[in-house]
Amino acid sequence: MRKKWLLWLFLFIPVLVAHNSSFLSHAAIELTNTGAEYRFGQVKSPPRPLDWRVLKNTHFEIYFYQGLEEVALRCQSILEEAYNRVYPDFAGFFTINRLPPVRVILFASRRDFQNAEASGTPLTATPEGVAHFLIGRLAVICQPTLRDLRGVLIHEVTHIITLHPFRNRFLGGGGQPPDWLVEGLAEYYTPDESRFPMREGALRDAVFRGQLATMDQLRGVGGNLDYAQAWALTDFIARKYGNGSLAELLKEFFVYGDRDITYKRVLGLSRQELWENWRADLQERYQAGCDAPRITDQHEPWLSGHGQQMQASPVGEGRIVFLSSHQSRYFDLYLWEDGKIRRLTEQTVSAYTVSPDGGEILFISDVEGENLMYRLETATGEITPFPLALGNPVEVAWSPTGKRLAVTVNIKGDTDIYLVNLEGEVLTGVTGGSFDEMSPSWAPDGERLVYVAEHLGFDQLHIWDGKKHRQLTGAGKHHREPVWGEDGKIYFTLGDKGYYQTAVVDPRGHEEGKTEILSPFQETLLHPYPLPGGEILSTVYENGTYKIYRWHPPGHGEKGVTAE
Amino acid sequence: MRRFYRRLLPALFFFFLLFSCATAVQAGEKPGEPYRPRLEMEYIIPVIFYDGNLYSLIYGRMSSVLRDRELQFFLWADQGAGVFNYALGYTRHHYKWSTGINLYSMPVNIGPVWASGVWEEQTGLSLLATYRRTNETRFTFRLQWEKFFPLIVTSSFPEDPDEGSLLGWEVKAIKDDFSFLAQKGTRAYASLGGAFPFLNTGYSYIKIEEDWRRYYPLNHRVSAILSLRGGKIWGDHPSHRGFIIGGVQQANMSGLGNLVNQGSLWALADSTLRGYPLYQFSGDGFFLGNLEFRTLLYPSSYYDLKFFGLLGSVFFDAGQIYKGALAQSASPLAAWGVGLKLFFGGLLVGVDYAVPMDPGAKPCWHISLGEVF
Repeated sequence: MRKKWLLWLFLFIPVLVAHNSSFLSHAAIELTNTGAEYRFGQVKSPPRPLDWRVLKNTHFEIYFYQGLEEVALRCQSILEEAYNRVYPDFAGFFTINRLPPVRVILFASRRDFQNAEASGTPLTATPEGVAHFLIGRLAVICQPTLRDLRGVLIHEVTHIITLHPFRNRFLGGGGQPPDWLVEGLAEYYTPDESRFPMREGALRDAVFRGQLATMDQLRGVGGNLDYAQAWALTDFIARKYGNGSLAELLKEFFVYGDRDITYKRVLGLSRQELWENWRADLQERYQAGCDAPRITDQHEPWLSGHGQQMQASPVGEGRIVFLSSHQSRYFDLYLWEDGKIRRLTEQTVSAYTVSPDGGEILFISDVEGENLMYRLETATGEITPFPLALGNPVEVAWSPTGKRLAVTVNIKGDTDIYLVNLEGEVLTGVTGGSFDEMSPSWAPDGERLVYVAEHLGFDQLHIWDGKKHRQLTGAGKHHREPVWGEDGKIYFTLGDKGYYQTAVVDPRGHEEGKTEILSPFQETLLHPYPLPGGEILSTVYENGTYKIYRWHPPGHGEKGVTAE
Repeated sequence: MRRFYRRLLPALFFFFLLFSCATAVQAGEKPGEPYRPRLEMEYIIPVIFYDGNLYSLIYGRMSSVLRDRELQFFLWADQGAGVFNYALGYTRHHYKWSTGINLYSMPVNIGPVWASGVWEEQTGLSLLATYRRTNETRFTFRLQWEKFFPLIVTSSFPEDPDEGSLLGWEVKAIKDDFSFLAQKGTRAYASLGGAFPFLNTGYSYIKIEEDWRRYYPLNHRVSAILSLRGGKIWGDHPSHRGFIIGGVQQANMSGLGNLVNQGSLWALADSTLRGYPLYQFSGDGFFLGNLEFRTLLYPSSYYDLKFFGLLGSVFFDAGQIYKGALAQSASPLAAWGVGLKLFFGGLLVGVDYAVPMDPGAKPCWHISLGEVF
């Protein structure tokens, strides 16, 4: 009887594998993957031949190809940092079998990643990296910024170090760790500044709403909020019981599974008690802004419906352009004009800028698998490629004079800002440091730029006047998404720990500008854009959605709160 | 002359050193070393036990780091029952080209899982190659030797399955830019194949076939699908590997030059002629057309489709099949009907109710798994 059961189980496995693959199984007994065996389905067609090389040291083998030489060397140092950060806490797992060198496969673009067999994912998958912990391999796409690359590498390496020792348990019996611990560990060991900031914003919002996931729900981790909760729970256990408890907990999960006994053996309390303690800790952590009025009580979203919306900016003549996922799973450009909305693009748009006369929009999309810039005529919707002489653009800002662009690109593993003309030729480099400099915004005179660069662990605003750089802000919070308003002031997003507000700083006449918070709301507000009448367009996060609000700073200049 | 060589040799030695140094410097500029693929075990799931008879089930996979070389294998052996089944596939990817070799011996079911047509034992060797022009277009090439004999044949199957062996080939051009979320695009192939006698393989034929399916989104919920299929075989082919139509998702038996004749669960349907029972008509030439209007009942948009969805459809199917020049039905085969499809965790389960246009024929229900077209 048992033999028959096993027989059917084993016959079922190849069928299941075939079903879960990107293509429907066509041949029952052909085990190759050439594409000839599929009647229909899209196949992986590499856009260019890749000349692979491997960089080896004691702990890692980094596989890379032409153009990634500098990034590979940089990854080597990040990976060593990750190893030193994570491995000591789990060294006990490797007393008998040592951790073999982790294979890290680097891809320059999403297109290369998707079209490579090494990724092990379907053609349409859009992860930033994949950890094949059974075989100790990582496949990682080089990220827009050094911060993101560091985050993805450390996250994925943590998976390998924590799960690889138990690879045989995944194929055999025993318990399994819940996703909150698997992903929570990866997020916990990722440095704070490298973690996606709005994950914690979603967590803060869920705490305020009393909508924390239960332990049962956290057995599966999906979106941003889940990742944030997984991180927060892991972080809570580490703070309360020490890092050693994380390894102990993981080990016990593989023996007893996600049951009360596991928690009692390691932490001395039940699953429910842990959840309640964690919830109380979060309520204490997220006090900032909890008594503030809600923007959703005072204002209606500027647009109802239209899915997720963000990054609104005016295009002249009362028109507003914004990003929305209304008709796709990714963000595209939409134009609001006299109450009517028109979709401008049908490709993923990650950043855009509007020409001073509103007639054209330049946007960046990775629809072709790598970041490329495109030019869009606002009136006709016609899209043409923009011949940028630099690779891998991340952001772009059109000068108010209309003749120059400030483009953020990532060529060597971190982002730098360049000035280019409208033919895409490089005029000069604005920044060239070994860390990220990004988010350029032009002064109304078209001569100066404000941009963001990290200083002592926090993002700060810096000004470039065409020759010299000076740091404008210095408070112990993140200063991001600056927009230089026509009134000469710089509007930006200020915050930390999941709570971001709109603030303003006057760059004139001070070495370090005095920051004033404009938004007195409980919610996080992102992407501020000051309008001529004093109103501000913002992206507001609430309950899993991003909506655009148009609001006026209450008693601007009177009730504002000073940040420093 | 000797003086010349005496001078030349040091000069050559100098240039050799210069070249070597230049090479060394150039190599030094690139970090790391060239990648060389080597197969390593990814996983192996073995179950082996002995209770007087040896019993073994092994499923495994080997690959190189970049997965540009892959080896998969499956073994099922039962000494007591005299069973020794295996499948082994090796794949090599090199830029736009992928090549593979398969070696197999196994019983294969031809037909839907709930209405098996034929179980046959197949032993063979296939050589596959694909030129992946783009993600959506490719050319495939196949050379395959196969020996087969029937194990089980259902009474409804219209042909008496052959026992024999053949050496077949196929060249196929495929396009697939269908987007499920947008419900638009084209799926099509045109193929030329056949078999020729070689070392006692008994069949010699030429076969052409086309399959064209076009998806038209009418709005966020409703789409129209038009499908046109046709094929013709000239020569001596295995009797049960011709074209067979009737019902939904029957056997992939008309798969051109695809000598494996797979009938695995979740395989794409080969032909759809609702309103008629499975396997009702067989022949060596056919054409088939389907027009279906499909609407997403839940959720409101394909972009919101997560784990569960429900679709409704109205359809019209029509076709004809021939043996030689003789049509197998006096009047054209045609039916209309309605259907429901349940999308559950990535799997489509369909139920259709079809009414044949022929007044003598009775309406009938059809079940389908996976995308019918």
